[in-house]
Amino acid sequence: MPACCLLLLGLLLQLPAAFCQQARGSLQPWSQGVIAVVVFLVLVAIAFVVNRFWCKDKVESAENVVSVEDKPDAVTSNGHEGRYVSAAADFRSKENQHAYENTVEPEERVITTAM
Amino acid sequence: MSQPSTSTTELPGLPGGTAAGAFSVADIVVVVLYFVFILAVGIWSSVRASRGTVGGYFLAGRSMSWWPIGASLMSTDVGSGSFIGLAGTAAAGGIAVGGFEWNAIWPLLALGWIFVPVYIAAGVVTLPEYLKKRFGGQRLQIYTSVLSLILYIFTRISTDIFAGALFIQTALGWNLYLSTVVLLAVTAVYTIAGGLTAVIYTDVLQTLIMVLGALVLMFIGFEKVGWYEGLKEKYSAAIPKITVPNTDCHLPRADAFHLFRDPITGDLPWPGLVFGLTVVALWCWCTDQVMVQRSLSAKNLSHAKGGSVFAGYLKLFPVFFLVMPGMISRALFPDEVACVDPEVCKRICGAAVGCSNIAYPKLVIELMPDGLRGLMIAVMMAALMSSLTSVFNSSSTLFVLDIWQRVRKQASEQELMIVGRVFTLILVVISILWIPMVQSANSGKLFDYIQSIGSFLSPPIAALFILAIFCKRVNEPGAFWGLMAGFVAGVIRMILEFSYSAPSCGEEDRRPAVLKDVHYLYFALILFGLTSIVILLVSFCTPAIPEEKVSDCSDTRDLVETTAQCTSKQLGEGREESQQIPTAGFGLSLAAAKRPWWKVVYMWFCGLPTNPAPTLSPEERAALEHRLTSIEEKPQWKIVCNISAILLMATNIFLWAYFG
Repeated sequence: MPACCLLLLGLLLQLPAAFCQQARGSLQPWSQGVIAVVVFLVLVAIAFVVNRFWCKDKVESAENVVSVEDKPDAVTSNGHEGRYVSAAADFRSKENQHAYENTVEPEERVITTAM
Repeated sequence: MSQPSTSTTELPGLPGGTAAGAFSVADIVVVVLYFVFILAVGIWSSVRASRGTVGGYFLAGRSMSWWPIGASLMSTDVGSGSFIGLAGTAAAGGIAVGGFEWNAIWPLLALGWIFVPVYIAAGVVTLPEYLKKRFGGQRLQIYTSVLSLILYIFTRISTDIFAGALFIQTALGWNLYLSTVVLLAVTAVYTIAGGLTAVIYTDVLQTLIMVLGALVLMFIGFEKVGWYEGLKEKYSAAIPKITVPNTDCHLPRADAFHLFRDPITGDLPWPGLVFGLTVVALWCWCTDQVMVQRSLSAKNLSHAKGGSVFAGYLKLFPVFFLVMPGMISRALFPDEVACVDPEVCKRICGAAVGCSNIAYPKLVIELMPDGLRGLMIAVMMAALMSSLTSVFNSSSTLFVLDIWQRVRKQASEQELMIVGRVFTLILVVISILWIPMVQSANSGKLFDYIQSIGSFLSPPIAALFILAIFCKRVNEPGAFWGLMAGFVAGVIRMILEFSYSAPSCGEEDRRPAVLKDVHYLYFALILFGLTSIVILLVSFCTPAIPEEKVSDCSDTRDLVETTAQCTSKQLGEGREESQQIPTAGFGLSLAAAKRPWWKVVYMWFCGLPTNPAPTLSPEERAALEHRLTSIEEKPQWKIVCNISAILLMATNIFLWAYFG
């Protein structure tokens, strides 16, 4: 807003409040607010559509990259400091860290017989 | 404050005497109840928390939900400095200062959606640590942690203590040192014992008290002045009887009820409010340890985002319960709050520049009935304590993890815990010793002082973090020299600002053009641009960091995998990084050992584990590390967070347009 308009408005605002709305130009404050919100929501909708449309190809090409990188997954379990893909972590039990492992039985119970 | 005195440097009270005798039993009961509740919540959460480990003490065990985080974010930011400063600036200049609160929503959302995913994926506890992981080397980490600590002491702690002291003296008339010591002792107990968990849970209670109490005062004030229309009328006519001849500084501003003001002549020009303030706010919310630490204590990314959104909704309130009551105070008591004659002002509140700082305390004394006055004291204490405890805890975090660990590389976790607690105690003592220094400084415009220091020293850091996250080419020499250039420019302006004091009413403005014409918000924007240019220039002139070491510490939206390995081992640090990700802190306890009783009590207070920490196998460690650095979100919560963020932004835009 050019400075001269603001100055004029400043002078106008000195008038008694009884017959002067505190509004910029001819808009009521409520309508100013509503218009701003509508403009914002339209921008959000546009951004959403652009995101969906434009980034879809990017995601598809990236997924191919993932399947290639999954191959080393088989050798990561021996303390390899590589990447732990999220899927592996979900198989772990939340109750007991060792739930799915075979516990070693003590030697005494094993009875070995000849042949 | 300008009176020399040999005794306890007292802030003069208001005329008419507001002696302690004006307080009824009901008020005292309310205040005592408030302290009892806070101590109870603080101690209960200290006991519940796992506070013997780095992760438990400094990051609340990474177990916080969205609502404590949001409440803590809000109450940490709205401290006693805000109560006095916002109300005072509104009394002098109108509602534009409310833009400082409403603008914060945007950096808050940036924190949850852009910055926190990067920090979580990097697995850091402090922000200087992130800089070390991103750039390597030591000087960035040391510089930012030391600068942050200095800024905390000189801005956050000192202004909150001063504002609290102002309130105590003018509204209560109590002995300043005794009340501050008691206050800080209460907060120290649970802050030192319980760490971030205790701080966040007490912050929730204090947010509730603060918001409810301040809203009560707001309704009483509005009822007295005739609601918003009445406020507009009375404020425009709020002229003190004693004015300085041939000046117009006794007149309220013509644009007092507008947020957007003239870019050149306005006291808060709108480009500065929209763009310059965003730079400072980005520093405060997204790159500063105090706020980010709260978000990092979240259970997962959705809770961090939810906390940001909740804090954003809470930040919509201060305009209504702080800024408008400040204006109500001027409308009802123009002769005191809006005094312009330097002699009169000195008599009223001791500062020749103006007495707008007493706007809020004046309202509390004059309007609140018995019992409710005690509530307002509790509100003020809540605001003060919530901010201070957060700053103490974060300062302790920075000191222990960035400075102490650098000096003593092989410090055990126990030692870190003890050092953290001792440092908090040292800060409490510094805060008490700070009171006489703050009193003697000219503090007629408290809020401007806080904001101006912030806007001189913080834009370089904001510029660095944004470039670090979004631009992979930026390297360590670029970062360092950019920060240095920004620091020098900021310090020069700061020295100029403090050597030329702002003119009182009627005095000629003799300050150099650089101070007079360049508003501090514009300067923040200029400094941001300057620092960015220097960072980019130096980065392009020096060799880049190798691609693979940088990609994981930067913008994570391009990564398809939801985990990132951003350990400093990749940056060639070479030292044992067992404490970089506090994996030991989340393990289980084993059988206890025999100890003398006094040691048991001491260790219980300090929350140190009585059992040796279990060692994790490499797979367990890696799985734990993965969980801690995961930025996965369940799809339905992601949608909920996004929709609530859009609603928040729409509400914010509506308010800006309505009051603009």
